[in-house]
Amino acid sequence: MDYFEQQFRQLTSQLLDGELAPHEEAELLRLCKARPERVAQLREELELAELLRCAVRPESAVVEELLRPVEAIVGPAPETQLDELRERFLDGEASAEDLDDLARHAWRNSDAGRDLFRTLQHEDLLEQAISEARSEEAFIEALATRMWAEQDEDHFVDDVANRITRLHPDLPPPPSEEEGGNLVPAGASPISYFGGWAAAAAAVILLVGALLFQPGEGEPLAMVAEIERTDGLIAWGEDSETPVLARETPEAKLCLVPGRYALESGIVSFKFLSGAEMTVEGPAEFEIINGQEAFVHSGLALLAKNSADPGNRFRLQTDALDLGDRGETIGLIADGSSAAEAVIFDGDGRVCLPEAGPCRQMFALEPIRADTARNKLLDIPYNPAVFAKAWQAMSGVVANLGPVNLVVPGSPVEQVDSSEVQVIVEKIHFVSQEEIEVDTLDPGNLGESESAAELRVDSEDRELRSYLVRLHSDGSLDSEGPVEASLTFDHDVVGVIYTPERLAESDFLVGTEANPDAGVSQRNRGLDSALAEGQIVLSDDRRTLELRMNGEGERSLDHVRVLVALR
Amino acid sequence: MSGPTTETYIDYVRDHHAGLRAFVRALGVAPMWVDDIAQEAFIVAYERLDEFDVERDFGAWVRGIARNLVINERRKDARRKRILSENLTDVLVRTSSVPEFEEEEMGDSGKARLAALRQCLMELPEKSRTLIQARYRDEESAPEIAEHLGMKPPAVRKALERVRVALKKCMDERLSMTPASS
Repeated sequence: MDYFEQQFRQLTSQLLDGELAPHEEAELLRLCKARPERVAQLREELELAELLRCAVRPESAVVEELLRPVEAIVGPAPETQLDELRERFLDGEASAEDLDDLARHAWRNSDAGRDLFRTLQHEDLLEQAISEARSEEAFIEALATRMWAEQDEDHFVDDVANRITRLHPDLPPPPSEEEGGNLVPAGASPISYFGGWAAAAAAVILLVGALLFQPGEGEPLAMVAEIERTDGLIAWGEDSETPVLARETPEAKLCLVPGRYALESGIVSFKFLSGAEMTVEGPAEFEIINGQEAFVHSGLALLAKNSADPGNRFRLQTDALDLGDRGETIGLIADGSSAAEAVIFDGDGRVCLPEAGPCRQMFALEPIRADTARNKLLDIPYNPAVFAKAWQAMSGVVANLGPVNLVVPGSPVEQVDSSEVQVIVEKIHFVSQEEIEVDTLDPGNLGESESAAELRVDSEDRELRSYLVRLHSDGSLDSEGPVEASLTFDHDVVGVIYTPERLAESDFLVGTEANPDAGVSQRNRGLDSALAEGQIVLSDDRRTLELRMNGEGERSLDHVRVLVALR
Repeated sequence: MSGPTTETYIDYVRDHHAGLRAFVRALGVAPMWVDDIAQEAFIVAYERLDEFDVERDFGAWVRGIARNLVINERRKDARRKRILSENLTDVLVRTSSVPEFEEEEMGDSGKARLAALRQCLMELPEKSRTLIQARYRDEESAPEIAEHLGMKPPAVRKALERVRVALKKCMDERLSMTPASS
């Protein structure tokens, strides 16, 4: 008997004993959905339990109990006439006893029951016809608002937004939640973002079938993500049901609204308003459900959640896998409905096959393949190379010169070429609660910076990313000379750490758990300060670092930690 | 079998809300909660849209959902119940569950009935319209209407009953003149 069968039996037993908690009801339902034969088993168990209950009691008691619920209806004939009761009822003046009497009349006389039913229908239609509060507009607007407000995973308003976007591709681009003022003209109604959409959704429902909805200038579209970077020749397929919209910001960024996209070629990285960042490598089809949920139908995608805001969960799914909202940095490859592979780079998670299929824990760098045909989740060997291009796009290192390798997490770094500078993304997105002591903050030559002891990055409320730039010399560089490299980042560099002590101190705050040099003596890390001058130069725009690494002196392991500010 | 799209769903809501609300009311739901339960039924339908076969009758499906929601009301604590009377709802739910009655009375004519009723209201004499508006728009009781109009409450009740019957007759006549397909 497998685990799920045991669980099913346990929960069934609890149900029969009246000890099933509400959350366990959901689990039992899930197990029944997964195997329909369990429903039949459950029914048999319940029938048997009921028979047992009846068998241990006198028959008269059982009959009495069965009749009790209808006693109030089938009891003695009411004294008050039907017409009088009906009149009181329709006038809203019937007491509880009157209603029970009315029920008795309706029970005894099916025509009276039907007449009451029809009359009540007619009453309601009358109210709908007369009362503005019960008009079609009011009902549908309330429905749209409620669907948004009550459902965590509601897509309704977004779906309607998509419809408007498709019908009106020339509409002004949407604002973000933070920068809505950019696009809402002065004097526009200060209608709330979602409230506006609820109204818009209602309007579309009312006028469906015709192009009657004419959004006003102040009504925003539901933009949920901005394209941060692209790489290669970007081609959006005709299957994209949602256009990529230009947005009127100083950076002229493109934005995405909820909907399905087909990326035929190229790599696109986009950032959600929630802070999560997703990179998709074409060819791929994906769907942005809302600001905190995405679905990858096919292709390769990477997701880096906003771990700076733990309350901000992001859910990732494919047709074959549901990764839920756990895991910090995730890579996946979806192959339509039949299979998908996923790996968590950072954090841990839980993965399930869809439709109440089996689930299991996921641990960092232990990939899993979903096999829907066999209804199984399988461990598979990890091949980091498949994520190399997308990882490069997501890493935020937009340009590099020299022998630079952007290392995908889990790559066997200790075996790589010793003349290669490796860049490891340590923490892709974080906010440190403590100040981080760094060796240099200022543009210019490292040797010209201020006293290192006074330099700190006050990271409170600042979202940062940390990189470890690494060169592991095996001594062969002595004859070849130092390795020179240049790295350009997509955000400002706010701190560089190269001294062994500060590297060690900052490991805890910003380092990666999968430290490739965990066994190396701290003394042998960093750059030799005596040789540091000229080894690191930060450009005036704080985006480019020029490095000269040689693994000379006491250090056989050149380490430089770089902090960039994401916001 | 294929599920409907969201846009089809929007059409469904527009086509069926009037009939569904009337149906919910006819199950003995307290007037102030009718729209609430009808909305819940539409939300459940939306969540399960993938399960719905477009070849089937959406109206019947969503009425089934609403009926179950109303049945669930019977199990609630008395203070949270949205029905007027358990016994009355019990009888009305049974009435609504008879297949022939379902086909004959509910169908999907709510929208057409509402349109016909609106036209009939336009044709009402001034005094009758005032009475109906006071009762159904302003939600006044018979004694309150009587006070405003300088009538006796029983006279108001009789007058309201006459107007209701007249409106029902007018609506049925209009519907009988309209082709079923429209």
